[in-house]
Amino acid sequence: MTSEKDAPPPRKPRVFKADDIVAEPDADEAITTAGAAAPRRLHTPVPPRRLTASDINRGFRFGSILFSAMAALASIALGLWFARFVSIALERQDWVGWLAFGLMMIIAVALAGIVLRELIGFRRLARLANLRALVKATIAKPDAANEKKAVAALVAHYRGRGDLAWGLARVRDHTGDVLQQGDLLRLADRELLRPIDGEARRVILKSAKRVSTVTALSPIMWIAVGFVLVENVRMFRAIAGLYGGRPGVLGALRLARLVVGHVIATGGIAMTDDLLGQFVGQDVLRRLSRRLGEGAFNGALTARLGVVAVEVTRPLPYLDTEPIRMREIFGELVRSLRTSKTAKTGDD
Amino acid sequence: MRLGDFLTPAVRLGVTGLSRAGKTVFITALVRNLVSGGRLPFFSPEAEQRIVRAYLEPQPDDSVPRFDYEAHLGDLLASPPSWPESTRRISELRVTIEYRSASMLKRAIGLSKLHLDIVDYPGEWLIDLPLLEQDYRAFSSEALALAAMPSRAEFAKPLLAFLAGTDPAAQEDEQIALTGAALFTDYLLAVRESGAQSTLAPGRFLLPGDLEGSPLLTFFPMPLTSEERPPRGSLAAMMMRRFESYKSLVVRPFFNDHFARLDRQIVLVDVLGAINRGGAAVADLERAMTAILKAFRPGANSWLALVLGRKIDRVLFAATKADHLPASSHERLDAILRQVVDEAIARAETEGAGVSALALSALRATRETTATQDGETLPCLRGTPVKGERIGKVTFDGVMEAAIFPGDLPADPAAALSAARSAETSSLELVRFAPPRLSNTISDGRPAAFPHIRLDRALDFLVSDYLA
Repeated sequence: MTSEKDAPPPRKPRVFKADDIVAEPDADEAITTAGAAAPRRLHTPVPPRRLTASDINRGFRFGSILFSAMAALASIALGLWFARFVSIALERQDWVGWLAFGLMMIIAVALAGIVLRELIGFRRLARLANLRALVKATIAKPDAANEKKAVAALVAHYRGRGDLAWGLARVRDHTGDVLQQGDLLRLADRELLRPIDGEARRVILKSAKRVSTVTALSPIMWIAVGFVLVENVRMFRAIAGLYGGRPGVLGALRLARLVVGHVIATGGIAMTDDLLGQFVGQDVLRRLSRRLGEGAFNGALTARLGVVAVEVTRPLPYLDTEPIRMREIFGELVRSLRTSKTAKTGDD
Repeated sequence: MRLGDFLTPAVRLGVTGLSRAGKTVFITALVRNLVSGGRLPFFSPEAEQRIVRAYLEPQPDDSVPRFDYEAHLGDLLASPPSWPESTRRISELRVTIEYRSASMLKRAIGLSKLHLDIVDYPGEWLIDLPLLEQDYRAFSSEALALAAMPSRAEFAKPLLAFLAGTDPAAQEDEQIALTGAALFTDYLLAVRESGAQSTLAPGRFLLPGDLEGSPLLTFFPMPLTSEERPPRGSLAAMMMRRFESYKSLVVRPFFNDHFARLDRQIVLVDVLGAINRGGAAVADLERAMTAILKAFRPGANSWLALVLGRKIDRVLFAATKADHLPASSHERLDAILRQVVDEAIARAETEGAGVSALALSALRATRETTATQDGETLPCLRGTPVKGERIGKVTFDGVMEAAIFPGDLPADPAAALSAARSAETSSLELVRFAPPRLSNTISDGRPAAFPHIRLDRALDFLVSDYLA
């Protein structure tokens, strides 16, 4: 209130003719311009870098030169062999030649398809990021018009989703209402994102369970590690898909980078909040069995990454809905592991 | 029949406000929205989709008139629509809400219904409640002090002249009593006509109902000089007796039969109207609120505390007609209302009752738009102003739709109030809007829910805990 004291004096009442009334700006145009990059700092000089240990130790590396040269030679050999194989195959006018040609065409089309899908996936993620930026700006600086734009963009984002049809209809019903500031976003959060949250929670729990089971059962460590990686990327893709990002594999990897970055950035806080319970639970489990303890740890890690992935992809912060909590998911995970453990010992 | 059917609780929701605050429209719109089950996104049981249905049930209290919901709804849906008639007496309506409880225990018992008894009564009656603690002497001195105030002196001239020529110790005389009461009533009505809303006087003088002409309403304040009781058979003794009867036959029954039985209360306040009229109206509104708040704010050793402390546990003050301002000003209206009832909120919170203040509009008569003039873009309201309303040089004919920028509310609520109190012309110029043209049903034949502003929040504050 104090900051508003030097606001301009109140404006006088007025009546308008029909010509003076301008239509409300179309809300859809907001999404393309929102979240534009910060102005580039072209004129800021690059600060001189201090030398680090790796700079000082850097000498002329014969070893790396040797290996690079060998690798280059090997790839040339492989390429030559492949080129010769192709030209021979194509020169043949019999069925082998045609088959080879057909297969190569299929390969080319499939590659193009993959590239295209990755590009579309990146675009979807970028659109989600723009939406997030718009919402963030609206929340930071409440403004009815911006809020309407943000919600319209959100509705447009989820337009085609059959599972959200009711929620979309309900949000649309109220966009014309006069609401308290922030209420429209809260409504969208409740009607559009709450159902998705439930689904995301299930996805995370399923991945965590799968990871912990495979870790506990796998005979070789590397299999478990590989599985954890693959399963996590799959989970990221599923979560981003739920919130409307639907990335390709590369997109999911980029998301994974974001998630890991987020975990590292917020790690300190999350430690006290989430991981404490996790370690307590793990200790109990470890007493039951070392393998199961490892499984639980990997599962917990997956769950944590999943929760962060939701935070990173969700277009709105949790306004009106209960946030997905790592602790709950972990609790459920431990419960399911315990029951399987007791079932096993019961069998013995 | 399950156990829950016998245990269905009833909540009595009191709806009051001084005349022209919008009580009737509020109740009509509230019931309509509940029954049609739409447009209440921030009424939490509705948001959680736990409300099965809501419907009107026969009125439970045989001695209280029924709130004529259908007639008022008919007025609003007529073509052209008109605002329903105002409250003249107490009335009641029962809405039953069927819901699915969030609590396991309630579900197990089979509690799935709530009777919401909406009790509508004039705010003037509420002003009477403090009289219960006053005797005739205190009442007289307060009423006469008010009459001597500059803003009222003109209206009070005939009354004061009459009182100057009347001797309290004289022999009692019905004709003198009738003349005095008539002058007193005229004075009160004139004060109210001038736009002032509070009177502190007996409320039934303004809304007599079927008591008109009875001795209960045939008294007036007199300047009593001596501290001892006036002699038996004197005019002053007669006035004193009638004042006491008024208290015991009008005020106390209302208190015992209706007010003391309420569970929740909403007080509708026409803050905007007062600010618009400016000057004395704002000061008067503040005085009226103080008087009304006395009813909710029993003194420490008052017997009222015994009843009130337990019974009414939530009071909502609502600034009505928020649709007369663009949405960007609603928060400011909130702040101004809060300033007006500030003391009450602080007090009630220490006493454990929940008090909240909110700007709302039970039936939205305008739409939001923006208009540009001379390169300046202003948030505007589109609607049809009532015939005869004017802004500047434009007079409306009651048919033409117009876009109006009503002016800005000052950002600082205290400044807004003091400015409105002092300034002759306010920065705000409000016109009254005709009701919107509403359609009775939506495309699939179900009843349409009426547009409103924050009605759902009010409802949420008032009853949602009963629907947990």
